[in-house]
Amino acid sequence: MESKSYFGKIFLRVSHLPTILLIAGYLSYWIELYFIRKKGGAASPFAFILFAAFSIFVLFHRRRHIRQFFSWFVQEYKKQEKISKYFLIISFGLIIPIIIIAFYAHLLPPHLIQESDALNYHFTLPHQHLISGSFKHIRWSSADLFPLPVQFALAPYWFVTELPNKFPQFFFLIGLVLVAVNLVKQLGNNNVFTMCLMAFSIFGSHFLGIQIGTAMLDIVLCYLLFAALDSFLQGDILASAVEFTFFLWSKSFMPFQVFFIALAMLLLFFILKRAGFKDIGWGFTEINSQDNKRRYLALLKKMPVLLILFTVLIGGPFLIKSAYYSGTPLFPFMPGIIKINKNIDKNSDAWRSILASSESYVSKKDMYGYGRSPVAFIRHLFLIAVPEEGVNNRYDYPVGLPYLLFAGPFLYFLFFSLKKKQFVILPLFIIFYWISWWFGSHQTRFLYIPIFLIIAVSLPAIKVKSKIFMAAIVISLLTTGMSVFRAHRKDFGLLGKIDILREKDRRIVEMNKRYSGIDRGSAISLDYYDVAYAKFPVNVTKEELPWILSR
Amino acid sequence: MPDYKSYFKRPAVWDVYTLAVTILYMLWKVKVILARFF
Repeated sequence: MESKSYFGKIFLRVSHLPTILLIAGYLSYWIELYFIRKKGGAASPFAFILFAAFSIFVLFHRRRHIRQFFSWFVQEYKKQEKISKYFLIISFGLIIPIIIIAFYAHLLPPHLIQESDALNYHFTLPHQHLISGSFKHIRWSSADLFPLPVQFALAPYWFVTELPNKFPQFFFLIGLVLVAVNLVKQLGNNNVFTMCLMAFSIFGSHFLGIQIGTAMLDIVLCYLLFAALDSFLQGDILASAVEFTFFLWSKSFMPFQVFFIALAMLLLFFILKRAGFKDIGWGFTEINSQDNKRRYLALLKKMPVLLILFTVLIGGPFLIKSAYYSGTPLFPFMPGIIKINKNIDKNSDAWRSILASSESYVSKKDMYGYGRSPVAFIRHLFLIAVPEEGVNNRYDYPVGLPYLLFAGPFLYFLFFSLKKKQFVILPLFIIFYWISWWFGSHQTRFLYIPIFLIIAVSLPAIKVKSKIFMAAIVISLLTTGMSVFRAHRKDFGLLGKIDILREKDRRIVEMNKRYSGIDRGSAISLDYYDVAYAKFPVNVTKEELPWILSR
Repeated sequence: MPDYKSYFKRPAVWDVYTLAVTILYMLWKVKVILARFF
């Protein structure tokens, strides 16, 4: 933990700027919705100006630290052996094209096949609310019952341009790398080589490469948990609580998952304490002193109050809306369990549709993987890493090589720590996170957090600079770089051209001209629902479960 | 501070593991690519 003067200053750190982006965006969204009310669901530059001004202030405020960091980096680089220097140069040489392609891809409007969820609801719903100037439930959309604070917070940036853009997501990619590197530093290794390895391992992970340059939000969610952890370890409870609250209410299943992990860890802690476990540490390489334990405990005690406060502000509106219309704050789980809306007619077609939609969403969790048998469990530990057919596998898409490289040492270190009767918080958190994933949807994108944490906690414990390991990391960067290039090469040269859009979206752009003057209260009936580009209120008429409800 | 020396006294173990998973990973990728053609 760093010196006390550092406390409370997370918000002034470059690596946590994406959190500022989210906070400024979330506040702006409500101002846009109820006060600015621009026509056609367009956002004013208010959020962008707020974020840009804060970023300039932070960069100015931290200018000495940034300069010091770079000179420290150069000095440390010069101290490296020749082979390590070559490794660092080659790896950076492979990362730079990935970042350039990512930057370019993020300048384009969402149109890729792997962005379908973004077009289905991440973009469409906050936009439709802005267009209609109301937070009222969009009756045709079941996804409007999901908690959407992250989507709402990003919407003022997405819709500030003529066509929706996905540029904010680029900041979260860079933010994730920076907070992950910070985390490695805090877990006991201030070595430039190890910190670079963390960045290389992230960029070398194929499943991250798949989402680079897309409008999807899984990298955003991964950033949020890493940032919350980084803030907590540095003693900034306020920043940690904000970041964790956004993470907690980002998906309907997240509160269940967090509750399960917290309960399991607490139970295990008391069991192991009775079994004589005395040492406690965040990762494998450091054990908390009594002073640190007391400090973290004091911070932890403040957390519930802050979480409740921020939940009311960030998650509250969505939970209340869902509870009112579907009888559960966390749709699609347990609809009808809460009875606060006496107007719900349980015999109506609308209610039947809500129940059927809920059932359909929940059953989707079994669409991936090979089931949950013990054999399937053993097999998945390898199969999640590799492709099976084309570029995909049964877990959606492969995780890539860095996971395999670190899984072995991680399990070894974990065994070693438990044998020495040490309660290692983050490694056990990873295990319980993985268990909860095993009983949920077997999609690899939900493994960003545990896999990058495996790398972050294992790296500080690995002291040997192995040439074979360096070669393996270069291979992973090379293969991921090729995947990223392949995924985006057809878009090169299409910046600013309407041809890049899906045909359906090009039609909507044409319709925008026709319906630009339409009244907020009216709606144009369409038979499809991925209408992120529409600047007019849409009414989807045809029931299509689980997404489209009957009314 | 935990003692991980017993493991790192034998870095060859680490190398063998790294080499094994890397070869396995690459062979698997090649197998999937070849399967597209045959």
